[in-house]
Amino acid sequence: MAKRSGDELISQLKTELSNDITNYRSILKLSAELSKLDPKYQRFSIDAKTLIHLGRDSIKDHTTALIELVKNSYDADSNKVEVEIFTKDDRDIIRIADNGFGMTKDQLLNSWLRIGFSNKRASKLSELGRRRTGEKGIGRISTDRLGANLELITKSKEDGIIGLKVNWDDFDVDGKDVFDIDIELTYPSSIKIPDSLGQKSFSGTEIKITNLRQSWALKNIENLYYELSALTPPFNEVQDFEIILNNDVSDIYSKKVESDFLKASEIELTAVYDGTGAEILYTIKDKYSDKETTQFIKWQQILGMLPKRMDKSEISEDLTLGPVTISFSFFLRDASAVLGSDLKLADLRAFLDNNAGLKIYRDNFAVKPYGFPSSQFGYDWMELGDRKARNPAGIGRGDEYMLNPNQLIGAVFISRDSNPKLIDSAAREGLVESEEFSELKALVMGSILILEAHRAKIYPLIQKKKKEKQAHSAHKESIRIQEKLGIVKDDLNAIRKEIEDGNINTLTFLEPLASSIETVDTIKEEVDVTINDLLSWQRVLSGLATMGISSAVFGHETESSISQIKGSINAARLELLAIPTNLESAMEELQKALKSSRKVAAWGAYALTRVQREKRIKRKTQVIKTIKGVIKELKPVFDSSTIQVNVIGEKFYTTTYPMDIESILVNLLTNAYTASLLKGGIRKINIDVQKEKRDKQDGFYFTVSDTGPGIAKEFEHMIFEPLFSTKTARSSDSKSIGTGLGLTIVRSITEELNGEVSFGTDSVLKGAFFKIWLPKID
Amino acid sequence: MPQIAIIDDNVDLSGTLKKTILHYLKKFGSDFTVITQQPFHDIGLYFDYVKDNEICLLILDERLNDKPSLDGVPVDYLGNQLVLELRKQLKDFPIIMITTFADEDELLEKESEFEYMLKRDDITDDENVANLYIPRIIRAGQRYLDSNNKELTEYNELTKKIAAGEISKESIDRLEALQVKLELPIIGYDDRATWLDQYETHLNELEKLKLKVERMLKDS
Repeated sequence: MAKRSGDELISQLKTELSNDITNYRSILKLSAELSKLDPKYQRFSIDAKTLIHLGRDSIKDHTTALIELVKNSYDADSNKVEVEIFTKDDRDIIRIADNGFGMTKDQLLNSWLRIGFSNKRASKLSELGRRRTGEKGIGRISTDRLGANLELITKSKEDGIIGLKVNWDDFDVDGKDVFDIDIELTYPSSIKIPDSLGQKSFSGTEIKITNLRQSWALKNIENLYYELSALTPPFNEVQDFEIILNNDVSDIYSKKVESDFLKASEIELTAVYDGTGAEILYTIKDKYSDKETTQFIKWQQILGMLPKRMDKSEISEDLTLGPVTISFSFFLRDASAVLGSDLKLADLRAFLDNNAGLKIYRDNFAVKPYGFPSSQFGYDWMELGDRKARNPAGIGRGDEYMLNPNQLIGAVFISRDSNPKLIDSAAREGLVESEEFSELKALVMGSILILEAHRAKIYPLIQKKKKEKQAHSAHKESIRIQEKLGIVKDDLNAIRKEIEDGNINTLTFLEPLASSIETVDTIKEEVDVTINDLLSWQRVLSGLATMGISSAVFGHETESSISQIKGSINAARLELLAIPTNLESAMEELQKALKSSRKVAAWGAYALTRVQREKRIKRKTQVIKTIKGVIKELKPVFDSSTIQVNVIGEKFYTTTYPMDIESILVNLLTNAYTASLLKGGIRKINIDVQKEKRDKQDGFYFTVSDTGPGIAKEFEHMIFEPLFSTKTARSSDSKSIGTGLGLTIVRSITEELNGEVSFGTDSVLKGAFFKIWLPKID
Repeated sequence: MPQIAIIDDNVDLSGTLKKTILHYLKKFGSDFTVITQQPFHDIGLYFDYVKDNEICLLILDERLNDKPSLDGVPVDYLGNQLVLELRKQLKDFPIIMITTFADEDELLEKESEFEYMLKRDDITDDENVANLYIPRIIRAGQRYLDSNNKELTEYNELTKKIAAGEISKESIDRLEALQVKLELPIIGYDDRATWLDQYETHLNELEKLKLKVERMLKDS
């Protein structure tokens, strides 16, 4: 299209504006074009594709995209959400409908259609006091992840029904501006939203997504179910937030989403007071025993247990508050909680974050602010966090142990009719802090104490079990394997005897043979596991030994750094105490101390990373990078002894344990360091990494050479012997602080990896060189 | 001014040590000063260094071979090796060893070569130990100076006697021993006549000079 002049545009715009039927698109287009002619100011425009990318980049997968929409329903204070996923028979559709507060027309046009806008940022809590779960304002664009077409219908109490339709494919075109794309507004006459506790709902939102982008397999639905269950409250009695999942992929997961997380709890406790007498019925069940224990506890006993700090003045000796049921679930927030279940730790944590707290439910409705994150005092109304902070003793401390409020999901059930004395406060939200309320608090606290006592009681047993499990020593393994092999041997002997006796009925052989093969198979696996365990253990030990050896040598640098720190700090102190004070000199000393402390820190980091778990896992490793990494960490040590270390060579990858390469290298470096110090003048250590084929086997080598005195002829044949050291050999002017294990480790690791070690005199540096050749594995 | 010298390759450490010792010297009222020196590649240089700088006590670091010395490269000897070389000439000189590390076996074998062997932290970080050792260090330096002084006085008197002709075999032997000990050039003393002749020549020349000056003053 030819460019129109400013005057042309203005006159066309005027014509459009005076038309009887307003052509909004045309006006927009003209004014956009006109604004480009503005000589003073210009504006950004946004490529429509950006929107699509934003949605796709911020959402992990289609399950997450759907969860975002359900979170929006939760945040809209709905108490029921319907999630439907239909993928078959040409009716592929995802539908999410809730009975939340819906959106007014204004909200739809100015908030929903405004990308990046989220009122959840302004207020983290919904009107119902829910902690808002979504927050980035990207839920709506995430629908693109689910399907190409979105239809949204919403009904608010104020504005009635309004809707819009988005075709995300319109955005996925090059060169279009967000502004260029029309979003069609709709005015449907009806909306299908879930009812609210059997009553027709007056507001809500319904989202329909069609032209689905991805298929939904059983695995996806299963995942979705579990993620949804983290959003639902744990107690079935409570009708706070309900999700109904309906799909044509899996019948099992077409149902009301129920929280499965309670089964991950360590301990469950229920306290029932029937409203008469002075006894409370406690039921406790923990993960480690099948039986639940039941016992009656007298109110007096509970009063006796209460902490001294608690104000008991308002608590009467008789229970007067009426029937109460208390239900606690106590959770560990670590991996052991989900061990052996199909739950994911991240989901469990999300569930706990959503639900932890002690809530009071009256007639199955939560009473604010108890257990609601909205108010500081209301959330932790039993002051459990405060209590824990005052005495943070761990479970190992037995009686002193106190639980963390974020580990507890609790519900206190009361009712209007049977607890008439627990009444609403007129002045503010919550219940009147009456005598009965104090009784309730005492009862809850007593129940917490009983739960804690139970945990402290079972803890030593759990620990003992854990220890027994670990005690599967290599020695025991070998005995087990020998026993099994003994059985196989007996069976085979029996068969031999049968054959020798001329008894060649094949059928009689079959069974023992089959069982022998089976046994050998299991043994094979077990041996494999055991040997792998041992090798991995050996790897760790070699790494630790190497660490120890290098500490003995390089550690001197740390010692002198520490000495410098101590000395400098003291000197600085003296300079400051002197009259007149010598500030400049004190500063100089503090600088020195700082410099030295950095060296110590660097050494600490080196030591810490030596046996990192990831280094003990076989993986593709760039040898020169690994070597340079070690050199970088040890640089301060070499620098302080005026030794230059140069690494040259090729870049290539091999599949190996990084720790092996490092252990070999550090041992060789330790030796080279000690050797270099024996001579004055310029000190150098050169490392060269190259590929080299040996006997048609792809491989590589690295050499470590130094400017030291070299290896004396008379020692050459013994250097790899364990415990041989020039130190023990009493060479006249040697200063090595050797354990005599370094080279033994080098050789053992190299042989383990099917490699070779050689050594000699370096022609350039005139000191020793060691060459390690290893097969290269892709 | 008599000085204590610290021989250390690590200038940071020796700087801190110097500062600390100076503090204690002041505290104990000593007028010694402290200087630091990085190790020499040529061990012979230490003897001139001690003489030229009026050193009365040496503090050696054990690990002299880590850091680059003045010419940018480290030396190849350790404190325990250096002391053996120094003892060849500085037989009674007070030498103190400072170590950072506890495990220097070869150093421990040579303990008898030193006045004291101290851990660096003992001086720089432990006031009690420093209060105990610094006075000893001061006394060691002072003792050296005193005996050095006494011997110089004795040497002086001996030479005077010899010059006066009171010569004996014992005094010549003693003089020679002192010359070795004080590291003085050895001169023979039996050509006394030559010396007297020379002395007379000098006097005559001075006499002539005196006459010349008097004449010049008159003429003007």
